[in-house]
Amino acid sequence: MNVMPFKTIIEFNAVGYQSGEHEILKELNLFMSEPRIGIVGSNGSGKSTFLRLINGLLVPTTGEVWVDGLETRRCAKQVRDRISFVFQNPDNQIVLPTVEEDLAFGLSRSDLSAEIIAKRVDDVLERLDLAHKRHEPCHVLSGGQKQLLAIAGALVRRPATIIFDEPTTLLDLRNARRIADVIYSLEQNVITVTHDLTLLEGFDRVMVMNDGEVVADDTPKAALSYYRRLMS
Amino acid sequence: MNTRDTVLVALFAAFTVALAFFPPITIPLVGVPITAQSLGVMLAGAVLGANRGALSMGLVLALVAVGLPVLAGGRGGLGVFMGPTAGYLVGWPLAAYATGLLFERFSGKANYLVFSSLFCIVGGIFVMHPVGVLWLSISGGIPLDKAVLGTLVFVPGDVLKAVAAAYIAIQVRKALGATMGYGANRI
Amino acid sequence: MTASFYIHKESWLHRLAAGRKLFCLAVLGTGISFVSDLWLLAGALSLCVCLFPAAQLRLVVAYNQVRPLFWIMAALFVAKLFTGPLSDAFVVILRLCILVLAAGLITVTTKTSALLTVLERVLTPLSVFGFSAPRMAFALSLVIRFIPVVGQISQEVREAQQARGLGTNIFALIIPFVLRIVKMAEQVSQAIDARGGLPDAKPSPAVMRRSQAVRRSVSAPMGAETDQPH
Repeated sequence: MNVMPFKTIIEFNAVGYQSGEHEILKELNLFMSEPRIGIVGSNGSGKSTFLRLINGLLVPTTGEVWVDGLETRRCAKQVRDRISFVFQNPDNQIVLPTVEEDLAFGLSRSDLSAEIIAKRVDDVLERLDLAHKRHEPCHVLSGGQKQLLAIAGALVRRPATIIFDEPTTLLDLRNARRIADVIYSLEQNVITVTHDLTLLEGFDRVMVMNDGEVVADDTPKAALSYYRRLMS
Repeated sequence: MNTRDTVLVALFAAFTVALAFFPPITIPLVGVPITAQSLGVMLAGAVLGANRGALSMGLVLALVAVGLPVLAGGRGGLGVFMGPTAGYLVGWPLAAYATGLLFERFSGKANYLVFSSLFCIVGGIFVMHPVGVLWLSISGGIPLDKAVLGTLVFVPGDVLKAVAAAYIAIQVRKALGATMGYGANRI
Repeated sequence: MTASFYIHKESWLHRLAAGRKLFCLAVLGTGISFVSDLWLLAGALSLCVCLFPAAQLRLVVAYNQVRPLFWIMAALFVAKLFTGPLSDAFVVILRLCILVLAAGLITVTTKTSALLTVLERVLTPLSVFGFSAPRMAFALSLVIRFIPVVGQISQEVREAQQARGLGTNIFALIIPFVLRIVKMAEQVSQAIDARGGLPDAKPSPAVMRRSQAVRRSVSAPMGAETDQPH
C-alpha cells in the first residue's frame, strides 16, 4: 500500500480551547512526529478535544495547530486528507447501509476514478479480512467487525496518520487484542487515546493529560508509571 | 445545509420510523394510550425547526414511497399514497414546517407549555387535518362537510398528543439549549 | 418488520423499468378519476388482480395490498350510502381498490434501489431551488443505515426506563430518546467531516453504485426484530 511519502509533523502553538465558560485545554505547546503516540488521562481531562483539534474537527479558541505546514483552521480539508480519524463507537461513523458502499463513501469526494475506488476498497477489505462481508448490511456485523470496518474506512483514504479515540473501549478482550494487532501493523503514524495501558507498551511516546494539561510526556514506561501514581 | 443539518434530518427520520415500532405508550395522569409515530412529526418541527423538520418528514415519505415498511403497523409502499387517508401522511412535512416555523419565530415563548402546545396544535391539527380531510373528500368522493364531521372524533386525541409533544419539546429544548441555537430569534 | 415489500420473481413486470411503471401509475391515477362506469371499473379491477399472477405472484399478495384499508373503505362505503346512490359508493370503492392494487403491484415488483434512482431523477429539477438530489439520496441512505442503530437505542432507553418502572411513560421514554439522537447526530456529522464531508451537490458516479448497494442492505432484516415489546 502506498502511503504519503513522508510522515506527519504536528505542532501545537499555544493552543487553548474553551467551551462556553469552561476551559478544556490550557495553552499547549507540542511537537509530534513519532510513529506511535499514546495519550492517557482521566475522563474529562481534555483527551477527546485534543484529538479533534489535530485534524480540524475542532479549531482552537487561542493559538494554532499546524499539520505539515498546514494550519487546521484554514486548511481543514487538506489536513483531513492526511489524517484519518477512528472514533470510539463505530456505529456513529459507519454512514452507509452496506460494507462496500460505506468504504467507498470516504473516497466519493476525491478525484479518483470508479475503478481506482473499487480497487482501493478491494485492497482494504482484503487486508482487514472483511472481503467476505463486502455486500453485507453494516448492522449485522459484530462489534469487532464494525470497528474493523471503521478502521478500513480510515485506511481506504490512505492517510499518513490515523487518530484513534479509545478504539478498544467497547470491545471484548479478544476483539480488543485483534484491533491492537491491527494498530501495530499499520505503516501509518498512529495517535491514540486509550484506557488500555497494555496497548501502549510498545509505543514511542506517551503523554499523560490531566485537567486540560499535559502533565507527563515520556517513554511509555516512565509515562505510564507516572499515570498509575497519579490515579492511585 | 451543512453536514450536521443533513445528519440531524436523517436521524430524525430514522427516529420517526423507530417510533412506529414502539409498544403502546400512555400519557401520565390522563392515561390515554397513543401511537408514538405521530409525535415524531410535531417533534421534528419543534426540535429541528421548519426547514429541517419538513425535510426529515419528507425523507420518511420517500422511504414509504420506495417500498419500505416504515409506518406504524409495518405499512409502506406506494399503495399507502393511493388510499383515502393518504392526506394525513402528505400533511406530515407541512405540519412539521408549520410547527417549526412557530417555534422559530416565537422562540422566547416556546418554553411555556401553553404556547408550545399551541404551536404543536397548529401543525398537528390545523395544518394536518385540512390536508387529510381535503384528500379524503376528493379521493373518497364524499362532501367536504361530511368528511370534516368524520374526522372531528380524532381531534380530542390529537390535542392530547400535541400537548404531550409540546411538553417533550420544552424539555428537549431546555436540555439542548445553545447547542441547537435555541433562545435566539431564528434557529 | 420485513425489510422491504419487494418480492423477487423473473417476470416481465419485474423487468419493466421502474420509471415506466410509475408513469403508468400516474396516467392510471389521473385517468381513473374521469371514469364512473361500473362495468369499466370492474374490468379494470379484474385486470389489476390478473396482473399479480402474470407477475408470478400469488393472489394473496394482491389481497394483502387492500387488506389494511378494509375498515376505512367500509366506513367510506357507508358514508357514501348516506350521501348518494348505491352505484356511487361502488364507484369510489372500486377506484380506490384499483389504485391501491396498481401501486402495490409496483411496490412488490420493483427493487428499492430502482425506485430510489427514479426518486433521485425526479428530484433533480428541484436543484433550481437550491435542493441537491445527490445529497438527498445520501440522506436517504443515511436513514436506511441508521434505522437499525436508532432501533437499538430505543431498545436501550426502554430497558433503562423499565428498570425504573417507567416502561410505558411517554415522557420518560421519548425525552432521553430524542436527546440521544441529537447527541449521536453530533458524532455522526464529525465522522462524515473526518471522512471527507458530504457528497458533492452535483451527481457523481458514486451515487449510482450506492443505489445498487442499497438494495442489498434493505433485503436483509433491518434489526426491528429486536424491537418487540417485552
